Amino acid sequence: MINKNSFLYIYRWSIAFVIALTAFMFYHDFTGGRMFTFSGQQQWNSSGPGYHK
Amino acid sequence: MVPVLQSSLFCPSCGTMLPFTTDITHSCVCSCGKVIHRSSSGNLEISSFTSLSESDSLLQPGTIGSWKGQAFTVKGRFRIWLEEAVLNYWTVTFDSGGWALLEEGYGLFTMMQETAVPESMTGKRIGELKLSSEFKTEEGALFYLQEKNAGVNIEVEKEAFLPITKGRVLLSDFASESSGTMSIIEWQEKVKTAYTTQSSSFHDFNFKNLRAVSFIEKSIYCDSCSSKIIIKTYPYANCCSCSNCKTIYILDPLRGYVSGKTMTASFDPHLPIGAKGTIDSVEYEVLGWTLKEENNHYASRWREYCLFNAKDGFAFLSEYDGNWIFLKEKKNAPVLNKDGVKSIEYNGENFERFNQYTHKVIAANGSFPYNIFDNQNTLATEYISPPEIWIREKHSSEGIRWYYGTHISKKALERAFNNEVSLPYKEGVGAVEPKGYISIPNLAKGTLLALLLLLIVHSLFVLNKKNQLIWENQYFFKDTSNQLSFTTQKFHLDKFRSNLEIELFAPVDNSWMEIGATLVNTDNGKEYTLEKGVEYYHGYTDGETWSEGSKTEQAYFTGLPSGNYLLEAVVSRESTSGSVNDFTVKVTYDVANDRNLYISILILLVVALIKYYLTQSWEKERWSNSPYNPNPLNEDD
Repeated sequence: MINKNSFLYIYRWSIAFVIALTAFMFYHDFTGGRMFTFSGQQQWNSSGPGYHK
Repeated sequence: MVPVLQSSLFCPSCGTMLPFTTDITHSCVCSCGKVIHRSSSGNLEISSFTSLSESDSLLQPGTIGSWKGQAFTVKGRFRIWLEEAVLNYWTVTFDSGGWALLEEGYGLFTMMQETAVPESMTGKRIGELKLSSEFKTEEGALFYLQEKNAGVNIEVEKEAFLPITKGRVLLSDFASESSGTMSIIEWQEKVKTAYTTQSSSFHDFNFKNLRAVSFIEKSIYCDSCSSKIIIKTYPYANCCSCSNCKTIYILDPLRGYVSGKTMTASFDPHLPIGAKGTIDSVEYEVLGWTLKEENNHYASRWREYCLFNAKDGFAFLSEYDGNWIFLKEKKNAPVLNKDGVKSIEYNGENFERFNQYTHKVIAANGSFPYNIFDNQNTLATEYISPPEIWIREKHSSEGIRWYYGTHISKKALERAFNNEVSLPYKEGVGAVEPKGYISIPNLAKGTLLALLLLLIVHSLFVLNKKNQLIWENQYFFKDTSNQLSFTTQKFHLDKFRSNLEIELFAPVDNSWMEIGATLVNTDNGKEYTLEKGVEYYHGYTDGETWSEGSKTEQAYFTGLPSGNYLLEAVVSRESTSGSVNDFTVKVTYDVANDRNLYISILILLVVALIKYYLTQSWEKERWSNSPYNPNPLNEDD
């Protein structure tokens, strides 16, 4: 429930932006990734598509 | 001043036992209708005040409530008619002992607890005080007079703290910057009582056992056209008009509604009288509208709508160029002892003076809680901190009143009135339209806080990075072969997700070298591949030396799950004579990456700068409507 009387209400979009930015950085720091970088890393699976019993 | 309770007091008029229930009250209404007063010595006297039977309030004798955790019971009231208002003073007794007066009217509630009359006020007459009057308490707090009123008539319901039997009571309200508010009542010459006061809303008191019907419509007939005029908020409607011929009526405390002038101008209100809308979860009904004009060369015109709710009292909607502000009178307000102050601070927030004016009413219809026609000399000063506004209205005789308002969007207002009203198109930036408004100091503070947050979050990761060396080796090409492959030993990566840095160093000199790396998860066969090259060129052209590229490059496998891995690599060199013969590969697990922090900070600063420029642009437009525009383009701005 949004409390429109809170003094933080007028800053809601700024707060949302800072949280999103921090979360974005958090994700990259957590996975060891580099923001806005295309590393050319590709992923393969030796088992290939499909399955067998 | 507190009389002693006498269990058996009989009415001097009819002999009936008087219904006093507490030793706090002085006056009570006998079943014969007389108001009987008992003195502190126990003498009974028939008061000149009259009994009150009208239900014009939600409260009634027997209503219970709580205030600051203390339960109380409402015993009765005296209603005092002022020249332009009417107020109820309810006597309440607390279950834990003690008593207070609860001032009520217009949806405003003030709990008044008796205190000693300040020594500096004991010898002064309230009637002689001017608005600039001040006094100092023994503790050194400076109080300024905010409002003073003379009672014209008093009525009593059930029983009340009312220590007099006749005369004109004088009421005065004082406010201090540091010590709250205080009321002093002068019952008669040399008889004063003082109260510390605290304002609250109806909902703060958790009232129970309220009156079932609080307001009864009052009807009068127009002197000019005989049309019926229905007044829904009697006696709080101090001013009303005939909807047929627009004759104005002003409520005289003794004579009732007295006709005045007839309005000739009119306009089509966007919110018709009788329309109902819900704002801040409170359902209001539109009681009246006015068209007002500033008494200056701008002659700006705006529209005001008077709203009413039985519990929350009166509120106002002000509209200028399609920009709306929702306003309510407030007792808890800033304290200003002089006019023309450029800015005020309230609850840690800075409000800038936006406008200052007197006004006249051009057109009006409906009913209003005050006389809207005797405010030509009322000086209104607006202080803004979007989306909030404080308006200080200073009336030379009535005193200072504060109104607190907030911006309300056209869309929100249309929704509030169930989309049944058609509102004007909005122009420009409203006086308190937020437009994402953030003051520059707050923007700077917010940016710094966000920077700090990014730094802390990133530092926590950096501190937990292992920077574990997995493999480091120098390799040499054999003979003329331009390719070399190698495979590392198996190694284990233990983190849920992390990265692997491949650093390639080769002493290339006007040549290149490239590594194609494949990381194999030996547990499930998953492979991750990437390629990276190093190249370094230099020379001498047009009298200048130049160089480009680097002998060292890093490549990263990211998002690697834990498991057992090995790295296979194929390294190629340029197939020319004199190319490099060796290279070094270094593999490091779980490395920190400050680049993420730098990019985040850059994004933050760019957004903050954009916000700053947008805010500046909007503020210029907002302040173009103000005579206090800090950056006027010319004298007309």
